[in-house]
Amino acid sequence: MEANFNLLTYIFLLAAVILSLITLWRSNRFTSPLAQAALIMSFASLTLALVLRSIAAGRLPFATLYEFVLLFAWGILLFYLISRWMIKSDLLTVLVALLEVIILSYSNTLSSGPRPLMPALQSVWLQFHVLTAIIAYGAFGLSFCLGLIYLLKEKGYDGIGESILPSLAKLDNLLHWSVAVGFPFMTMVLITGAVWAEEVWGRWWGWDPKETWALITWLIYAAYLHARKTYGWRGKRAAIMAIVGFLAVLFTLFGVSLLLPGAHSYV
Amino acid sequence: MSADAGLFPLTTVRSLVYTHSKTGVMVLSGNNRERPHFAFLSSMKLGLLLLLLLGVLASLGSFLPQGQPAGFYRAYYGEVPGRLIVLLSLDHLYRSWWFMTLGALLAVNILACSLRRIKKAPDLRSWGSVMLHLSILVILTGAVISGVMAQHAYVEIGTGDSLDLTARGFPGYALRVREFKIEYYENLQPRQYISSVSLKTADGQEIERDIQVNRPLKFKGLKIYQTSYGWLARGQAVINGKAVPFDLPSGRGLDIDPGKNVRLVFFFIPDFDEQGGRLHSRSPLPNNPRLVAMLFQDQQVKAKEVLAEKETKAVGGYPVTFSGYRYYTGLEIKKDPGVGVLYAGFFILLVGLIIRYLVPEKHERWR
Repeated sequence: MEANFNLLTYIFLLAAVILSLITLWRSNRFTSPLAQAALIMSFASLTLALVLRSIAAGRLPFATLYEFVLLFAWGILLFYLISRWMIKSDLLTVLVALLEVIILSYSNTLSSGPRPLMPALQSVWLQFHVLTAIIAYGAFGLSFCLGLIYLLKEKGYDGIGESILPSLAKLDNLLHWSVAVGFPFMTMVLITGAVWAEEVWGRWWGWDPKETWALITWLIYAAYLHARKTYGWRGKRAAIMAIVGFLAVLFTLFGVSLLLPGAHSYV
Repeated sequence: MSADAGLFPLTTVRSLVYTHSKTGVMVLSGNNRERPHFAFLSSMKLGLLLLLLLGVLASLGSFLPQGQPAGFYRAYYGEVPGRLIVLLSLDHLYRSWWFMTLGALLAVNILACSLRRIKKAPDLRSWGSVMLHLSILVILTGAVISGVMAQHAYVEIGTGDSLDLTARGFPGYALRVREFKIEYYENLQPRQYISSVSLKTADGQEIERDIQVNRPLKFKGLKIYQTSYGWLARGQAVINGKAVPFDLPSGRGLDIDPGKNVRLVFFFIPDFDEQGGRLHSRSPLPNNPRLVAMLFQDQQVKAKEVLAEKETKAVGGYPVTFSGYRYYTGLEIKKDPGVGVLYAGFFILLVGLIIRYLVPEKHERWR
């Protein structure tokens, strides 16, 4: 059952990519709402897949890289849906749908079998650590897409026909909002991680690559929040920082797991 | 990170009337009497630069293996780059003087701008922001205390054995391991490692506890963690007419003739595979416990015998008796006065975040 809904999610996302690209290419009354509907459906179907997986495993899907990649995709979709209350942009739909397709394609290369919780993961801190990470990374995913749009708009690209890009000020405001939501949760990812590491490994900080890259992510977004208030650093430079920040998130999740061995071996 | 708005929303900034000085430092108008170096130390630009610089340097340390001997870097990265890495302390980057100096500079920057802002804090939200900046200083203080004062010791104790911890840096404490056991899932994946211990404390108490992964023993600032485990094999070998008893972790051995590099090494296999005959256990459970005794000369196996319990066999002319086996448990013992300070910092940080981000703004948010 879970596999069916994963497939369905993937199909909805592909449909969203195609429909939103058509909208960009030749603005159209039907494709834009259809693309958004496809993204909403993919969110519903991914939610169902995660619920079914939780029921089958008898625990929340918080234990393997595969499970976290699904949650990561879910968090970004969640923040995309929230952003629709504040901004309407077909380019944003394209970027989010593309990002989701890439993330879910990657998840297919990971081993998806359910595993019982190893001793190190049997902690209440696991739940807090992962929950805060879903929210932080979801918000950062949205800010990444908004940062790209900001740079495009700043370069003079304005969109075609109906799908005109939002104003720079509006983009900047929403970008700041999403980082300002993500940052406190990223802080909590670090705090819960430190308290948990103290309980499980006997050291609250050990410069393990995963820890180090989570801290680097935090430093970049802290820099973003300050840059936005500093003369000569707001606007374009801040947008670049938001983009680099999410690249650090991606590296923490995927680069470190693949390239840099450490104590954080399960995810 | 400076006297100006910091994390304040733009609307608040406008309402306060700020001017930009030539250095890019934002200074409250009408309060320009501060000396320039203080203005620089408390400037947002310095803070911004330090945040990004620390990020870049921290990433460098994640790509370079840390804490290896100097020879490793020369062998792996080449003679000149290897020497450069050691010269610049990149082999212990996070403990290098320049990394710590940058961290200290960031602390000074945060302190300087927080002090300026305390004088000017206009509303509750800015107090939240000041709190979360000051909490970073408390956290850094906790880190310094941890780094300077924390005591660690790793011990391996066989089940039934006791160890006086005085010599390991914890005077007056003694630890006895009553039992060690592993719980398994149905697929034989470990579910939990449990050491049942008695801790004799410095004031003469004796406390009995189970130590598990994620559930360390805590007593008056002392913490004991379940970290590792293994098998001990017990028996005796007759070497040159003399009986030598052994009680060793699997994989260790006895020197027979150090001059010729001859060693007798013992491997304990809990579930020996009779058909395969290899040093491989079919399962982690002691269903078919065997001692594999091997006589090595210069890394070469000269003789090998598989012994059941209570059995005696000659291994290359040396009679070996296998009398029994048991677990040992690997425990990490630690006292870290920095953790309390750290957790206080975390608490202030959380309260600061809540005030800063959840107290509603007076003006409309972003639309």
